[in-house]
Amino acid sequence: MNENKTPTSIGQIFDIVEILDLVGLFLSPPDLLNCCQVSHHWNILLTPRLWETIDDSRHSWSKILEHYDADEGKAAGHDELWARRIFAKYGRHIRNLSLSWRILIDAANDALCSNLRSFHITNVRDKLTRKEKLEKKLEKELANQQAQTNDPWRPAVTGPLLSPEFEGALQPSDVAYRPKDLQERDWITAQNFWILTRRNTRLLSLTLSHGLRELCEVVSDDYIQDVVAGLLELRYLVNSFEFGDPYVLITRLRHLDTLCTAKWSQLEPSSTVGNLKTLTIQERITTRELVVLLRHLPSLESLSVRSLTRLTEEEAATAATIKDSIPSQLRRLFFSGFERASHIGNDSRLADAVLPWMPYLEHIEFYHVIRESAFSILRHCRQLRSIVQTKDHFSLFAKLGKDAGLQYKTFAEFLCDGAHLRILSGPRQVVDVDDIVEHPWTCDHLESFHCQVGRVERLLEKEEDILDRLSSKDHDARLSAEEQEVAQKYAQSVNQHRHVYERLASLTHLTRLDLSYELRTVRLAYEDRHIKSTQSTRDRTLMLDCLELTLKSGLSLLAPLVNLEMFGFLGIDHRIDKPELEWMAASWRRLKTMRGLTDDHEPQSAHDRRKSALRVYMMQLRPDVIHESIIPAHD
Amino acid sequence: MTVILVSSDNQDFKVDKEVAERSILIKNMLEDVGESDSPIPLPNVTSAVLTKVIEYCEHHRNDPVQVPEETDDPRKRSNDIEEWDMKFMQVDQEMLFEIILAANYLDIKPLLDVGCKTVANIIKGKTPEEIRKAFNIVNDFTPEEEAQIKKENEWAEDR
Repeated sequence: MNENKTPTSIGQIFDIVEILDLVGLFLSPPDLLNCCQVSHHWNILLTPRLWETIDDSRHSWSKILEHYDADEGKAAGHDELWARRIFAKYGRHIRNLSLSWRILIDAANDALCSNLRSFHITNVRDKLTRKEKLEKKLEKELANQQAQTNDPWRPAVTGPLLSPEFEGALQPSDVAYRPKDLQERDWITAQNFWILTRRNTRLLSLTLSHGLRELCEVVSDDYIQDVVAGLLELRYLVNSFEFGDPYVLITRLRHLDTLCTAKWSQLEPSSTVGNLKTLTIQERITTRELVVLLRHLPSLESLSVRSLTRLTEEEAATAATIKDSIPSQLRRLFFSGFERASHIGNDSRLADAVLPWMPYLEHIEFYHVIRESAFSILRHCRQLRSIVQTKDHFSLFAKLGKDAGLQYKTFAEFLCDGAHLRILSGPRQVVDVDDIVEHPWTCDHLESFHCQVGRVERLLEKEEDILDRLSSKDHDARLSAEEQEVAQKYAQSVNQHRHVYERLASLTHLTRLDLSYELRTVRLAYEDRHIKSTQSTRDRTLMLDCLELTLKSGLSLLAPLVNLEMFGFLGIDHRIDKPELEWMAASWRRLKTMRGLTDDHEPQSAHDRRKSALRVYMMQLRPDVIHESIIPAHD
Repeated sequence: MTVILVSSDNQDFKVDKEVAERSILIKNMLEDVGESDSPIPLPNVTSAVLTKVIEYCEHHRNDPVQVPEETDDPRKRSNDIEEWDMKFMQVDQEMLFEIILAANYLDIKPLLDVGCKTVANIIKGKTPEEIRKAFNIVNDFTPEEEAQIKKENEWAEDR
């Protein structure tokens, strides 16, 4: 290579503005800060990148700001003036602003930031400096002392009005147990926030948290609605602020494609509105509201609601007529509510009422699904690709008591009739081994399967001893009644295992197979009668009527699953040992993740040395395989 | 169909049109010229670098064309480099920079991205002084200026 090009060309590459800027794109703020200190040239080019995204929940913001109003902050040179100065100097570079510190909202507004593309506010009211926390505590104690005689709700402070347009729209709120000067600051920050929002007319993304609402009293929802509707380029809106009517917003914001809202509308628009593709409603809605929204939001592809109210007679009648109208284009449907919430997964009347109108559904997700709903889903949604049971961390190790929530029959229906399915994930689902033996499966294209196989005949320790004795006996020796019973049980177990393995082995597209049992508690293991029947005394927290997963039981029949990338066997009495791991390591070359050999920190469980030893062994066999715990790693 | 590319040191490289067209510069040239057998001169790229660039384009000949995605949130930008690319980029720093310059000149966005990600990985975790040393950059700040930048941006430190 040309000699005069080295080593000077090495530095010269950064003279090309686009290249240094592109390098900066792939660096995080701590590294960008180091780059900004390299030279004037680097500083000028990379400072805009450093300030492009300001998120005060990250890096050192909180550590600095928690004492900006105290002597400590002043001594470190990080007082209020510092914050205001740096925003005044660099605020024009900010594109993405995510804040919970009031001082920064104030500083951003004072700096006239006007190039924001996204603006997210969270948890403002509770973000207090150490000094403010102390003041709040003292104020509360004082108020408690006076509580017997005085009304704790004192009239609000009267702070300055920063803009005439807030008159009749916003005012300081009556706040109990909050020091007066904090209230005054709340009021100023609320006004600063709305001025800042209104100034950034090219915002694409806006999050209005509920905490924001507590900073001041909203006299006129229309004012807030007008400000937000004035952000004509807005595509993404989270409205936990609970203002206005969603239909009005969707109509006025023509580019809005994602809306997350705490409250839904009871209105019925006169025509179809907007271009909304993704809608999340954080509350329960009625079936009527569901029908209305599907009719009036024709572009909607993804809908998440908390739950549905139970179907009224009138709604059932309305629902019957919707089959004749143009079907909804909905592709993905989520129900975010837990156990007691009603939805199409646990209420087949609801399912029969609304699913006929959603023929294009590809993905459906809920906490619970019962057999009757499964029939309805299979009947109406012929393009369904994935059925997923929401995983909530409550139910893992939680006090499940009577409502263990296990379903034994539902997934069997999907396996038998869900020929279109690709993903079937049910952490609270069990397929009864008898159903597998008796009914063929049609879901040949399944790629991901998470469910337990249960009610498998397994010998108790005592019975295993009897079996050992039997194997050493002569063939023509007479067997006792007990021995005959054990021999029969063993034969049945062998037969069941073979059937299940053969069936699973036919699912050659599988990339994920998770047989883990996630809902175990010590109490549950006692209470559930299905488990009791085969209970062993060694580990009461395990699911015991599961597959054995040993080579002896026929594990090697799963050799056709060459595409397998993930295998899970957490919390079941699997008896996997070194030979099984050796077989898996050699047979499933694409395996990347294993769930079953990590310590899962289960309450009342001791550190399992055997499991750890097996994990180490597997890591030697296949260092490329990651071991996942009961709470899955973040995607 | 094949095209002939000529490097700055006058070496001919015969490559499939599909491979050559990974470069937007060449793609546009071919579209402008129409059907033609005449070789395409690339006066800014040496044969050593062009060999590497063609190796990259051959490997990625079937990749879908990259659609520029408007991701405003930098936290969503992917810093991952796929395994083959990672190995491909295991070259000395001079060659790395030559590849980046060539990718920039030839307008091969995915290669430019991978190159810049590799440089970003070199920078990660280094102090300003270590960065200067790595890239032979002269410090033109006074100590006061340096201290001020640090002070104003201390929020960006991970402590």
